[in-house]
Amino acid sequence: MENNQTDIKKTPTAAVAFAWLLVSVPLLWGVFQTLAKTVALFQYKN
Amino acid sequence: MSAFSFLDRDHTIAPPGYSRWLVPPAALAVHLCIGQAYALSVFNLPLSRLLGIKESLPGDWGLTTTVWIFNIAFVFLGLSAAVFGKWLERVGPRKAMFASACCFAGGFLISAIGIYLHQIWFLYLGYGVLGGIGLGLGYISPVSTLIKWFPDRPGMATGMAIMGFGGGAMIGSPLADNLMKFYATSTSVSVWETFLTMGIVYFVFMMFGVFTVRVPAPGWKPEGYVVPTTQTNSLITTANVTADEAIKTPQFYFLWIVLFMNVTAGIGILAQASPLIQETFLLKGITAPTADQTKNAAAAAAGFVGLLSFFNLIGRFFWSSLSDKIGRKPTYMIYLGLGCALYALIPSLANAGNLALFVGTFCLILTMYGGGFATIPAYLRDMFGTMQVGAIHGRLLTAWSAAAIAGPSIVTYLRDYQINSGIPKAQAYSTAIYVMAGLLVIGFISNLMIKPVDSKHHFKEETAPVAPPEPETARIQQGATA
Repeated sequence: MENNQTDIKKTPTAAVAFAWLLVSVPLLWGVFQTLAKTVALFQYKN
Repeated sequence: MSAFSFLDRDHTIAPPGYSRWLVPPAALAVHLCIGQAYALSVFNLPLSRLLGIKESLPGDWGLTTTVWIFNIAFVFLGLSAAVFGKWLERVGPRKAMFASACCFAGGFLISAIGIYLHQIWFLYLGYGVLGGIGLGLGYISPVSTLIKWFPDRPGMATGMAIMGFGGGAMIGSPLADNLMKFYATSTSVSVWETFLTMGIVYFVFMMFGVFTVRVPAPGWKPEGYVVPTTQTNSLITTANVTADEAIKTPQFYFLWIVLFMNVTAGIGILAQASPLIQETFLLKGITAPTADQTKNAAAAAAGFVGLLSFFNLIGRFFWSSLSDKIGRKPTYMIYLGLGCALYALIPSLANAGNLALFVGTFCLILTMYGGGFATIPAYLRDMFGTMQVGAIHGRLLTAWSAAAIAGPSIVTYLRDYQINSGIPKAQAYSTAIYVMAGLLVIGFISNLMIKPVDSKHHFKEETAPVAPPEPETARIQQGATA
């Protein structure tokens, strides 16, 4: 009798990592661009 | 069989072994795109120079004309989330995400035509109406699915997605800026080309979410997770309430008030953050600033706005995750109670002249503003169950639409009133800030009033056949990985 558990194809870890990378790269780029602007606040002198 | 049958709920049921950790990136792919709506102001100046290129000409659009694109989009966000919530629960997240992508990207494309033809109505109907519907659909589409995939950590799961909405503005603003520079010529400010490109890029990115998202099979639960039959926390129900029934409960309206007050206070300050810090701090005491002083203050104020956006983003994940540990009601007590105390401190901090403390206080306030958005889906799940939580969330988001108009209007009106009454600009925000603190007190009291939903509102299968139909191909899954 065949074991059903052996038929289960688990999502490869690489696929999960790729999915997270795909959304993390633009998010981190946006965060970096935003935080780069904050330098002007901390260096401000009138 | 339709060519679009792959969008059907039946075709999105996760096979055995599917990792639930693919669902948050799918949700983020949508929210990172639609969050661009908060960065729409990056187009204000270029849209006002479509004819004049270097400066506005008499036929160019003014800010009072273009600001309606944003207002219409946010009204339609709330309306579409409220109207299409039950449809989303029926058809599943994939079809809703696809519809969202078509509407949101379609809004960009119609707007691009409108900019090319210099017809503002195309922008109102394109980005405003169609794009706004895309915003509403996209915002609520992954929420119910995430809650079902993460019954053990619903706050963290929805917090991740809603964090993406905050991040979307951080991507949208520099992306638009860079594209306009890339396409710029001596005869065009290149806004229509930028809209066209962004529409295509966002559509493709959202398709990643569409193809990745899956719903758990009936009966699926994370490995090792035991479905509670009774809850130790009486505010977490094991029953379900339909969307139509939820709006008959006082709990729905108390939560509406909580969200409205928290968002009004936060968005009012966020919308006026740049002039607020310039007038109360950076240019305080300078009656006639030089061109250099004005330029430096504007750059520093832009940095302040960026910092607030960052803490808004962080708060969405941090507070919603914490709410899984300490409970939803105590978390909102912190947002509204601590938030009120911090708002009340701000005028004194401004007078004390400590920039770091002033900025730090605002950053903490903005974490709780973001946290308020991100924690509300889990609060709704606790009160009304998972069955139609997406639809209930959609209806509650009308509070956001109302607050998006009320918050900035209150702050602007009170500031102008103070200045017209002869109050120096540096102190002109004090009344508005005390009013915001007062709104948070109302929200705090409303949160205190929240009690478990009366069992007469609970869904009973034999009397209320409104549950989403079980897919024909449903298979009991126990093998999906946690």
